[in-house]
Parts: sequence; C-alpha cells; structure tokens
Amino acid sequence: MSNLVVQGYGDSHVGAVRDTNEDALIVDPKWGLYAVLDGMGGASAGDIAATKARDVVHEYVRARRSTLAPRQLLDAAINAASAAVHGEAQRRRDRRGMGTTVVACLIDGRRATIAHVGDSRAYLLRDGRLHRLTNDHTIVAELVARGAIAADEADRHAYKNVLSRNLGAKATAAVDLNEVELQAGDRLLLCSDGLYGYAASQALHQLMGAPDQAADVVRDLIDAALRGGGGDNVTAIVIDAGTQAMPRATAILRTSGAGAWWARRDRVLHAARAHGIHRSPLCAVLPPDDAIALVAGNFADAIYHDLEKSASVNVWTFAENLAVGWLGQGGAWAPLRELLDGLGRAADAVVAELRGEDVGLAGLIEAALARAMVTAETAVGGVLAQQLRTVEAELVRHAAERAKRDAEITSRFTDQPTVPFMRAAQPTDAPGPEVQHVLDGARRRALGRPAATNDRELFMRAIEHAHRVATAATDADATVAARELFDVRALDEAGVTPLYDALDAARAAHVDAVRAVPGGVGGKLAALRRAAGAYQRLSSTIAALVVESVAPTAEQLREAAAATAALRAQVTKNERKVASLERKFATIIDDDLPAGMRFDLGLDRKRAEPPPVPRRRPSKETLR
Amino acid sequence: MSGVPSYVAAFEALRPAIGARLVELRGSLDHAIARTTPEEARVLFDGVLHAVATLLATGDHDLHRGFVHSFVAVRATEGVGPDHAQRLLVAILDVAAAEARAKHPDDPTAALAITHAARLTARIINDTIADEIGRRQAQLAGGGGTGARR
Repeated sequence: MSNLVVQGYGDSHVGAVRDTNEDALIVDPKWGLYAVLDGMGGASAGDIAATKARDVVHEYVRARRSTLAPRQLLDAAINAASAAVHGEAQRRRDRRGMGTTVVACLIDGRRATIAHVGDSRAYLLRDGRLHRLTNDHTIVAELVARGAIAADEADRHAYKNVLSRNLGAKATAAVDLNEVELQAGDRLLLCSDGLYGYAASQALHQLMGAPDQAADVVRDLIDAALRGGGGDNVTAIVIDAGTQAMPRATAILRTSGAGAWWARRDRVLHAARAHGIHRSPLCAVLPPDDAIALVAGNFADAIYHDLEKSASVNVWTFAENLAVGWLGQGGAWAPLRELLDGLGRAADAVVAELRGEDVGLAGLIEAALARAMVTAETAVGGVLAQQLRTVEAELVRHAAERAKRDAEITSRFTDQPTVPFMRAAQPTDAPGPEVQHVLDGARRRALGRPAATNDRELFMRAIEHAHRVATAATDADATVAARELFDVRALDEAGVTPLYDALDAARAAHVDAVRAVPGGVGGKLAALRRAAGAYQRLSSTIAALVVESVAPTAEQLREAAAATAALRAQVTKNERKVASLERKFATIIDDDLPAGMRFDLGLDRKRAEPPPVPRRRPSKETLR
Repeated sequence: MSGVPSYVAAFEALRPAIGARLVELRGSLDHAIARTTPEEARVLFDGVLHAVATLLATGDHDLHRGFVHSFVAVRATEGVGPDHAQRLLVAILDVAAAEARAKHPDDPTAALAITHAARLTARIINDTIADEIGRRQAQLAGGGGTGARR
C-alpha cells in the first residue's frame, strides 16, 4: 500500500484578551511530527514550560526516530519533556507549579500515532464526520467518566479547566496513546483549548469540512475562535492526508461566485428594501437605512464569506444571532419567518439578474443560496427547540409548584383511602385528660364484663380496638383496627357474623361501662360520644373491607351473568329456529298425506285452496 | 408532454444510489442510526426518500407536512428532540443532493429541487416547534395546568 501525501500547517494566536502567548507548536513534516502545547503558570512560566517541553520533544524525536517505534518514541519524548519542565520548576522558585499540556501526532507512512497529556485535543475528519481522538485530562472529565456528574454539567462546572494531568507536575507523565490508520481525504486537527473553548463545535465541523488548503482552514479556525471571544491563546494544526482535488463547481463558486455576489451586494440591499425588510417588527427600533444595512447587509456578507470559504458557518451564525436576539426577548416566530422569507426573495432577485449574464454561475449561486437558506432554517430550528425546552421546563416547574401547594393544602390528610368509597383519614382532637380518664376506666370495666357472645376473645379484642380508636388523635387508626379485627376472615356467615356479634356485644358493654365510670357529666358525655363513634367507625370500615374482599368475586359474578344472558339469548334463538323447522316439516308431511289424514295445525286456514294437480314429492334435500 | 418536471424521474432513478450512500454514511448522520444494522437504516432512509419523491412528484406540501410531523413524533418517542430530527432530515437530503450533483454534474435541477425540499422540511419543523411553544406558553398563562390543548 502506498504512503499518503501528508501536508500540515499550524499557527498560533495570542487571542483577544491575553498579553502573552503561552502556547507552542511543532510542525515538522520531515520527521512527521506535529504537536500543540499549552503552558500554564504565572509570570511567563507557562510560556517557558511550553517552549521547554516543545524543544525537548522535538529534539528527542529527531534523535531517536530511527531507533524507537512511534508509540514508545512519543511516550519517551513526552516523559523526557515532563522531567525537564519539572526539573526547571524545582530549580527556580518563580517557576514552581509551571506545566504544560501536549497533544502530539507522529506520522509514519499511513499510521498516525497520537499522544496527549492534558486538555489539548486531536480531532479526525473522515467522510464528513468529525471524531474526537482524545479525552481531556481534567478533573471534570474524570468525574463525568466515573458518572459522578452528568456530561451536560461539565461545561458549567467550577473545575472545568482544572487539569488532572500535565507535563511538569511530576518528573514522569502518564501519556495516553492511540493510533489511526490514515485514509486518503482524512484531515487531522491538533489544537489548544483556546480553539475549541471559543469556537462552536458546529463551526469547527464546518470549517474542517471545507475543501480548503490546510493553511486556510487554520486561519479560519483561529478567526472563529477570535469571533467567539478569543479569551485564551489559540493554536491549531491541520494535517491533510492525501490530496483531495477541489470540485470544479466549488472552485468556481469560491472565485467567480463570491466575487459576483460581492459585486451585487448593493443590489441585495435594494431588493431587501423592496421586500420591506425594514418594516419587519425585528427592525422596529431601527431607522430604515440602518435596518437594511444591519439585517440585509449582514445577510449578504455572511453569504459572501460562506461562498468564499465553501462553508455555511457564517450564515448559521447570522441566523442564530437573529433568532436568539428576537425570540430571546419574547418575539414570535411569524415575523422572523417572514423576515427570512424576505431575505431569501431578495437573494433570488439578485440571482435572477445574474442569470441574464452567466447562466452557469447563476445556477451555482442559486444552489449555494438554497443551501444557505436551509442552514438558516436549521440554525433557527436549534434556537426554537431550545426555547421549547425552556418553556417546557418552566411548565413542569409551575406544575410541580402547584402540586406542592395542593399537597400543603391537603396535608391535614394523614392517610389515603384504600377502598374506593372509604374517605381518607382525618385527624381528630385527642381526648382531654378527663375524657381519657373516663375512657380508660370504661375499658377496664368493659373487659371485666361477661361477653354476650360465644367468642369472648373476639369480644375483648373488639373492646381493645374500639378503645384505641376512641382515644386516637387520628381516625387512621380506625382503618388499621378494622383490618386487624377483620383479619383473614372467610366471607361466609360463620366468618363475618361472629365478628359483628362480638362488635355488638362489645359496644353494649363498653357504653354501659362508660356510664358506670365515676366522673363529671361533661367528661362522660364526651367519652360516650367517642366510644360510640369508635364502634360506628369500626363497623362501617369492616363493611367496606367486606365489599373490598368480595369485589373480585362480584366481578366474576358479573361476567358469569353476562355469559348466562348470552347463552340464554342463543338458546331462545335456537328454540325459535327449531319451532320454525318443526312447523315447516309438519306442513310438508301434511301436504303429502291424503286429504282425510291431514293434521290440523291451524296452518291450512291461512292457505288458499290446494291446487287440483298433485304435488311432486319433495326431495331428500328439501326434507333435510 | 406530461408536465412532470425532469428532476422527478432523475430523483427516482437516483434513489437506490442515494439509499446505498446513506447506509454507508449513516454513522455521520445520527448517533442512533449509527448503531442500527444496514437493513434497519435502509428502512428509515427509504421512508424519507419515498416522502421526498412524493413531494417532488406532487408538490403537495400538506402531504409532506403530515410525513414530517409523523417523523418528528416518532423520533420524539426515541428521546430525540425536534431540532435533532430536523438536522437528521436535512443531512439525509444533503447526501441526496450531493449524490444528484455527482451523478448529474451538468444538470443541477435535481440537486436544487432536493435542496428546496430540505428547506421546506426544515421550515415545517420550525413551524411545528413554534406551534408547540405557543401551546405551552398558553398553558403557562393558564396556570401551568396539565389540561388539554388550548
């Protein structure tokens, strides 16, 4: 298998915020070595760490390229760099704690060996899909890997930038290594976090997929990070494997198409005005000229840049910003929809004009514009979907709050009904000391009385449970007490009747006992009400339990009744059919008999006089 | 003259090749589809291509809207949001348009028609999402209840 032609290009930018660039890079096609290093540490120590590590790695690879296999070579080179940075940090107090990340790629024929420590990354673009080849060595990434936090929390986590591994913290470094078998058309990207942290992943994907030279892609990637804020140093290396000829149509678009579009920029603005873009509610706060310049101008510029780069990242960004700005302040979809349509029509007008000059070029631009409008719709779709998720989350939060309020309102209910028509338990006032005294005395007296039933044990249990219900602070106890009394009782007369007999006897004894207890009239009346109420509650709850127990049987009975009714209907139908056949049969037999022997079934009376000619004997088929 | 645009026949002729290319590239279209077998992926892609063929042949936007609504609803049952469903459909149609461009470099009409279909599809999904937002906001305004659609 032949080797691939590999071309790489790298660049670094200080960014839009920092004063110094602490990133370093290696682009050495001769040795097939490419690396990005991102230094850290105060007082320029990061710069020193990255530079030192870069030099050591580079020198190490050049010196031992022919003696070590790529994996061992990169591992050893990075460890040597770590030892060097660590040693430097130990020698000078002002460099204590300095360190660097590294992501390195060593290409040997078709094989690319990737080594990394820290959060600098490697990506592979293959068949239009961007694959990440490295996992960040950060505290947060490790928490995600262990399942301690969710992946979507990682971006918001306070320690998202804290490294779990770097070069220089120790004399040795744990290096992650993997290998990729390159194919023609593959494109590798090595970058520092200043790139992926500030350029949207969509933009990375788009720009990496552009059919540009590596140098152009690197420039566009760094531009994207700077547009995204450029809050850190930005370094990127793009390595192309094999040669990929740019499609002819793409080449035309990038040259003539972009130029032709740019030359008609004013025409786009004019057409946008003709389509009333400035009257859109989105432009309500702007003077008409400013509205046209801002909205239609940015739209035309975005299309120009995308034509020039054969990408769609600029239109995406334009549409996304438009949607975020408008929908984010509560704007409706319809005006934004109308505005997008107006811009599309303005662009179509320019294409129509161009068609008179160059049909082929107009066709190419028309196709590119159509694709740009798809991009705009998709970008807006993402914003709309995000808004939908936000509204849904808000709705859920409201519903949850309302449910909580409802729960607070009904919190006085301490139990839920377990039988459909049994009301939920409610709290009752606990008996006062005087009533409690009477009830305790009544219980003792009632238990000592003879049972007016055969089952004394059940009688005593009924008194105990009724006392419990009468003295309880909630009537939930009634349900529990009733269940305990009902137990696993069979639903026949011998099962339920003794229970009701025992309850009846216990109630009579208990009420008598209340009356007999010495005490004030008020306390005794209250105790009497509580005792009588307890028995009433027990009886009704046991009745509900009986219904609950027979429910399955009742259901079976209902089904059996329905089946019986259906069978009865069938029998009736069959009986009618039999009667009808019998009548028919009798008539046929009767007709065949001599006149004097015929049965009088009462049917002949309805018929006219029989015909004078004898009837043919019916066949067996007919008789049957 | 039948009056049917030429791209209808061109797309119909391209369908097998587009389907095969989609199966080949399914890993780059959607993570969920990446895990399916080629046969399962083919069923999904055939459904989309059939709907697009119908749209190109009939120009019936309402019919296509019905298909898109069903597609989004089915994907929703798999936990896929409408924006992801939108990107998947657009990606499928991008592959179809690229295949049309590759097979007919001198006749861009089929590729252009497919791109317009992609835009219509994306628009229908945006309309759907906006409708849903309106309904949810009405529910919120009505007290955040779990009641029926207003």
